[in-house]
Amino acid sequence: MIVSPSLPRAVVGVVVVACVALLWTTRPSHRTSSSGDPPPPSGGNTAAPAPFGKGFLKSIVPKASAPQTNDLSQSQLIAQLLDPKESLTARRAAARALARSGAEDAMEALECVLRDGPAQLKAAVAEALGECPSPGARPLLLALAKGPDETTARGAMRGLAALGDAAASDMLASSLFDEKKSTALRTEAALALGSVREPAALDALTRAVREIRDETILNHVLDGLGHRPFAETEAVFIEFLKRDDSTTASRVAAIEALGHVPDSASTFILGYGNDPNQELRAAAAWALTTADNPGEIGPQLLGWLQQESDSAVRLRLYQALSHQDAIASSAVLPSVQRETDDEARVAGLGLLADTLRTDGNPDASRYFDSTAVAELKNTVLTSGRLDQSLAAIMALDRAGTPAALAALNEIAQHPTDPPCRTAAQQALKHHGGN
Amino acid sequence: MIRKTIIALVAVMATLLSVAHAGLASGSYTVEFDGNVTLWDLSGTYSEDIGGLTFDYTLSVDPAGKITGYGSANYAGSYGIGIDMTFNLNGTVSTAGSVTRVTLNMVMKGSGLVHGSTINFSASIKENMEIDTDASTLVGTTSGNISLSASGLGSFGEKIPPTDVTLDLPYDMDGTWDLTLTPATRGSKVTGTGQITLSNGSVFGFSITGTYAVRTDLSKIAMKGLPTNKAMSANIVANFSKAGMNVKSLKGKALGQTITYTGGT
Repeated sequence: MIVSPSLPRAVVGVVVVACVALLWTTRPSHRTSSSGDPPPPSGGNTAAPAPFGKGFLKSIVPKASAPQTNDLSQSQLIAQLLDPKESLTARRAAARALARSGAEDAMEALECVLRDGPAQLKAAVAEALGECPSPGARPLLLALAKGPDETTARGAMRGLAALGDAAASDMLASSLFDEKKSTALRTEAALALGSVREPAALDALTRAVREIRDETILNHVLDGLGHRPFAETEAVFIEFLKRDDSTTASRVAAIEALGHVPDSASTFILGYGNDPNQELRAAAAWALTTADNPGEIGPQLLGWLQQESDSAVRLRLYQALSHQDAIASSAVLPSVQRETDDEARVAGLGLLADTLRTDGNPDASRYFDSTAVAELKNTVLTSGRLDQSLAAIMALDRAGTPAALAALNEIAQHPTDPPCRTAAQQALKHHGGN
Repeated sequence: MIRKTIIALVAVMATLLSVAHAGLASGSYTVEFDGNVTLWDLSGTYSEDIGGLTFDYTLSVDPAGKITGYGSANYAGSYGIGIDMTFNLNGTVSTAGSVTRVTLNMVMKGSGLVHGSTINFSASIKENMEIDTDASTLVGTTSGNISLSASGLGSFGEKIPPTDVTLDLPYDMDGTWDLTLTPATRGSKVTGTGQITLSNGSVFGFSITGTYAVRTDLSKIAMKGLPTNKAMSANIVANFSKAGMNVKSLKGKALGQTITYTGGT
């Protein structure tokens, strides 16, 4: 069954397909088969697993990540793209597949959508043209990026980023510095430049950091820079963060942008743990929460947490610690027990739940069940804040202890906000409930 | 005598003016923003199903627009396949002009069983989306990396190519919101409370301070988020009358989004 493709489903789809395919490869009847037909179920197959190679995984990932276009012919893709009754998701997926083919009839269909399609579909077409091998794609992209439809123009800018060459970089830089263009377009150009590997793109962003004063655009320039390797942007960030005329809001944006770097900026970010400005400290902790590769910095974060005086920063530190492996609940427990701020406490209890699920520390479990569960349940039922209520439900879900599940069960049946009831019901389902 | 009369007349006129002026804010006033200026809260529960595979997660968006979340994916199928994964999510909501952008990062770890053999999974996924205000959906692309490892089978990693994503926002989230101010004016000083109520029922409180100018009949009010939502703030210029609050301009920050409104007559 195909439902609209969201990211998680695509990923899980990959996993499931991988498992199924792996299973098939382990079956003697399938080892040499190239057919896509599933083998009949049978029990008792004890054959040793056969190795699967990179080629196998490679072959299934693109299929699983674009389930809406799997096995469709070019004409079927065109029909899907042009059918207004199809979902936007299906039409966007068809547009991407057609653009990747670059065939003549595909280009005609894409141009048809660009004339008459809804804005978000036109934007998807424009973005997909960045992956199009047809020689007609580039001039079309350049025209769309300058066109009057802003949503499409932003899609075209993302397409130019996918092209990633010097001409695309020039076009994006020109848009970024064009004060006649809207904020939405200029920020899109800044973000797009962040993913263009051309040296000219880095030059444009560096110049923008020095010249642009509009805070919204500047913050997106910093965000764009943050998507480039820290090794090539470190000097720019250092210069900006030391500048006298940098506002706190933009410094916050700069530090948070470092959470996106593809390499690691953890050492640099941790340096802001001692900054007198609590907003910068909170930004640093958040950057370490979002970092792909923060490294093993649990001990440093715990040390920082123990001496942090601002509750908003402690909240972010609990969140950052939740993304660290191998944090012992015994190391977290004292800080959580001392925590007095309501929001930070919910985040701290969420962290404690994470850690005790891993190590099952009896002291932490006892504290969680005897104190935290009732407190989290009370937050859900009385805080009046959906974000806090959901954070509390997630903490109970993470812990998964019998007491936590009993509390979730109560919430699931309580005449409280429907979103909380639904979240509790979903958490219970994860733990085997209904 | 003449001087005293003039002073008395001025005093009477000033009193009459202050009584006649509708601009002295007092009481409770609510303005509904029904689409011209939107505020989006992604907090909620998301769930998807494919042939017995369930994928559930919850997102919480704080007043600064920072997203945190937690989810799980479970599958128990034929051929001895079982998967159990949990994952953390984080991300941000931000506004630039007319566009509200949402980024989501997902870090997944888990294990599955295939014929009794354990396979470990990990994935790092990034979604770059924006809110389609007409459809109340998140629209964008996703990409990332996934790796699999199994004892005796080695480990393998692959990139997930850009893939289109559309996610429905929670059913009660349509971007509309109400602004309620309860000011009290003494002389030229305005104090009081305020609140923002989102379409999903979430309420955020504010303290308000400001000034009232007789000459323009306008109140300039600064809204400051309460300690529980101090990341939210706004500046408002408004005229108050028995007919209600007429917002001339509003600029603020809430849930990571910039609110800008110019209007009123």
